[in-house]
Amino acid sequence: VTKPVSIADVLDRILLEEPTPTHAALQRWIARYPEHREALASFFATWAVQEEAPDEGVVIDEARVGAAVLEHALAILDRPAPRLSEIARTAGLSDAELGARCDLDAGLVTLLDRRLVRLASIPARLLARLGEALDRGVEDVRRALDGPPLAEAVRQGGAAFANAGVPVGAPLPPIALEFADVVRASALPEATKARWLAGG
Amino acid sequence: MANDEIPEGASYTRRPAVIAEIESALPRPPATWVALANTPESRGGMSSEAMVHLVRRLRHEPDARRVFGQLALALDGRIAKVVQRWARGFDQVTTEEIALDVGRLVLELCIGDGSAQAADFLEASFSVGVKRHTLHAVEKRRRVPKPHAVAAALAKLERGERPVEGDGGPGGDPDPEDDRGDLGGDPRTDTAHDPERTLVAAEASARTPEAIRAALAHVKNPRHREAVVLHHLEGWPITDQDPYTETLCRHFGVSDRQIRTWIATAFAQMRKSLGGAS
Repeated sequence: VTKPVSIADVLDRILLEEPTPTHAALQRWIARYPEHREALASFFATWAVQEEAPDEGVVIDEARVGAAVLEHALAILDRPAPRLSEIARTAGLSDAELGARCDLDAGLVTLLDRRLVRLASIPARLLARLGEALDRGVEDVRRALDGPPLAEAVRQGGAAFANAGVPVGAPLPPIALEFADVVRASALPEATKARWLAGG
Repeated sequence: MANDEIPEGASYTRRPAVIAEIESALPRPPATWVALANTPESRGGMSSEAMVHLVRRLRHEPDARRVFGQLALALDGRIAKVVQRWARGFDQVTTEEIALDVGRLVLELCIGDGSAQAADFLEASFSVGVKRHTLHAVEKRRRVPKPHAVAAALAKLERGERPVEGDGGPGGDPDPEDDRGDLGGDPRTDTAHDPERTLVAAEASARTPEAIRAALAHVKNPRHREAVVLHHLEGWPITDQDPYTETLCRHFGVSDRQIRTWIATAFAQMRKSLGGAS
């Protein structure tokens, strides 16, 4: 399945290639991306108006704006890393869709999402594929998968722990499951398992 | 490249000069980056693209939080400059709101709370990326009626009056001349022998784009101004028989008669502002 080209990508390309927002240019881009016709027309009109807008000398308080922007950025950095399923939702993917894009089954995605798989045991190729599917950097994927198991794993992940020999109700182990072990126990086709076990 | 399709997940590459800047900065302590970031690029300072890269590098290093903050502030100063160029026509408060929205969005991308591809684009072409985000923020505000305009339109309705085109519109104050009849003409398509149409068409064709630009600021209603810009400066037709051609009627969702009235009103205001010199 080919992912449709986003309007953001098209607009970036337009600004790189078109010196001015002429009607001829608009028609060329509509012909290439008719699915974005409304957005393209609206963007070209806005661009044209701003291109011709005189400088009225409006001065903004850059220090005040900058402080608010920085405060916002630091608040994001200070909050816990989002989990895998949250990033997937932001990217418009269900857990199943994410699994399909990365050669994982639903159980594996769940274990990764709940941070039950030891990060260092996850192949670099899987981190890269997750990043590609989610349009995030590998470092962001690592942060999503890192850290102690999520609290609900105690309630919902009992089976996974039981399979790994952890008694129900026992404190969560500081190091979770090995990726190779969960692949072997998964419902993935044998060929896919073999690929992951061969180093991804 | 103009006819190439954009590949899925298109990646953007940094310019060689930016790569060189980054390679030169990385061996030095992060604290030394701040002075370069606070120097305008035109005076030998760091490029905005390199700053984006360094901010992205520092985001998960708690020990470098101070430098991260200083670089982020310097980067936001660069963002504000782009915003002030591409978000004109608003008052100070609204312009600051736009600067805030764009600054937050760009920093979110830099710290990984958004599309990695969009962040990569900022490392490849910062000002273009910020310009796009700014125009998008402007676009959103053009679509949302200003509270005072909505209130004015509602007050008219309560008085039993009919709101005119532009009431509650995107930044447009009501213009009593909006509802006048058809006066304008489309120099591209019109052939009718209406004296008023001919007059307006002749006037428009006699004016150079430079003359129109010089007088545009005197057009009171933003929609009238937009119609003149799109029609006379960017070549948008008012109407067209081809349904695939974008026209002013389709863009504004009003009749060609209304568009011609807007343009005629705009030219009357421009003519008046020039004291009949033209």
